Amino acid sequence: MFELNLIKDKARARQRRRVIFLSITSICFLAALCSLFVVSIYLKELNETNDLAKQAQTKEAELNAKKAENDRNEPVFKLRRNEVIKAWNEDIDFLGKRPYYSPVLKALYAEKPGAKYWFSSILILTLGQPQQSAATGTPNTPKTPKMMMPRGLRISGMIAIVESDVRTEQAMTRWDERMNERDGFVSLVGPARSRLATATGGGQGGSGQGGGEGSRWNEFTIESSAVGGNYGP
Amino acid sequence: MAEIEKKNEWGAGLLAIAATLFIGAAIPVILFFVVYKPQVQRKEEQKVRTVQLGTQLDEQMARGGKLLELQGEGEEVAKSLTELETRFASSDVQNAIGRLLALLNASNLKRTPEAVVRREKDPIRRTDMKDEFPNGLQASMVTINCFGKWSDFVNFIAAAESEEKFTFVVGEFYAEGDRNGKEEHTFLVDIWIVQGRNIPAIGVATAAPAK
Repeated sequence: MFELNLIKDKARARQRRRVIFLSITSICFLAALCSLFVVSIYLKELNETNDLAKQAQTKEAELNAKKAENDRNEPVFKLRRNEVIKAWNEDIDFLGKRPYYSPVLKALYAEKPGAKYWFSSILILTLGQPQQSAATGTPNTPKTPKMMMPRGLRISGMIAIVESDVRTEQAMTRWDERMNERDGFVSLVGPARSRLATATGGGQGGSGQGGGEGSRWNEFTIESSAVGGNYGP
Repeated sequence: MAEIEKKNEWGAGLLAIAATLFIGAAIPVILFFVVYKPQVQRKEEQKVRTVQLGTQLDEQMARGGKLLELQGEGEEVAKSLTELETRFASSDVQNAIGRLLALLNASNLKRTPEAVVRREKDPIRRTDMKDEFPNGLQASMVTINCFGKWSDFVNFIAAAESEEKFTFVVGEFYAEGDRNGKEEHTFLVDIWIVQGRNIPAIGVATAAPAK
């Protein structure tokens, strides 16, 4: 009987140990399984992070290259466009404001001298010099190009005074008015003002007898100057 | 005695099971919070960075597009400028001088008697004078000293000023009437020949644009 109980106890002890062992093994197995699951999702995240990092690296390189290209191109393209626009504006401005001499010369030809008066010389000159800085003497920008500067007209000639100086001056004033009505005359050389030279006596100072019965020759001048310039802002 | 031994054996076993359960549960939890969670955060940061870089890249692409528009605009203006400057002489003004000579001959304007005596070849004399506009337009000056009728000279100036292939601007002008009352007079006139620009070189910086 005692022996039988001993055998039973031993069997129960083995059973207990087996239960304990199996329990611990199961718990370890489950823990390992859970750990493996966590490690696997960690590895998945790690791979995705690495992929994203590679993408970011590629994008960053692309971004840097594009930014460098844009930074380099921007001032070049802007400068080119702005300078070309400036040049175009300058050409348009020049072509719109360029001085034409034909109206003045045609006006002078239309009012050509006759037997009673003649021109000895005609001068159209540019007035003033290119603008310069008073302080430094260096050219200011924008300077007015010489060919776009205002013009002045100086005509000198001889006229036969038939009746009186006053009558002749009136005739010359009418001449001025006719000239000033012509298109392009005033805009180039300004309004004309004629003037009889002061008579200094017969045969002296450019005045003298001649021009027909009861008349004498006298010098006259016609002057005009355009105000401002043809060019500039 | 056997009962006490049995109880002890169960106690130790249950303790071992509890310890195993505790440690076994702790390992995945620790792994989750220590390894997995920071990695998820790193991934999120990387995602945000990728999106930011994508946005910045899109901005730069748009900027590049605008720059190309800017370049196109510049070239369009350059094209208009080229068309506008077809009426200007090239940097070598010889053709323009040839045209002026042809106009002088067509207008019956001759060399002055003094020039004939001096055996000057033609009435046009080149000078070194240049006129420069603030933004690069240039003109070279020639001087014409000729002899002829006033009407012919007026026709010459009118023809020169309405010339289509070249742009001539008259500068200072002096006419001296014939002292003997004849019809032919002496004319001295400065003419500016407007020169075209080197359009491809306008505003081109030393550094070439990136391709």
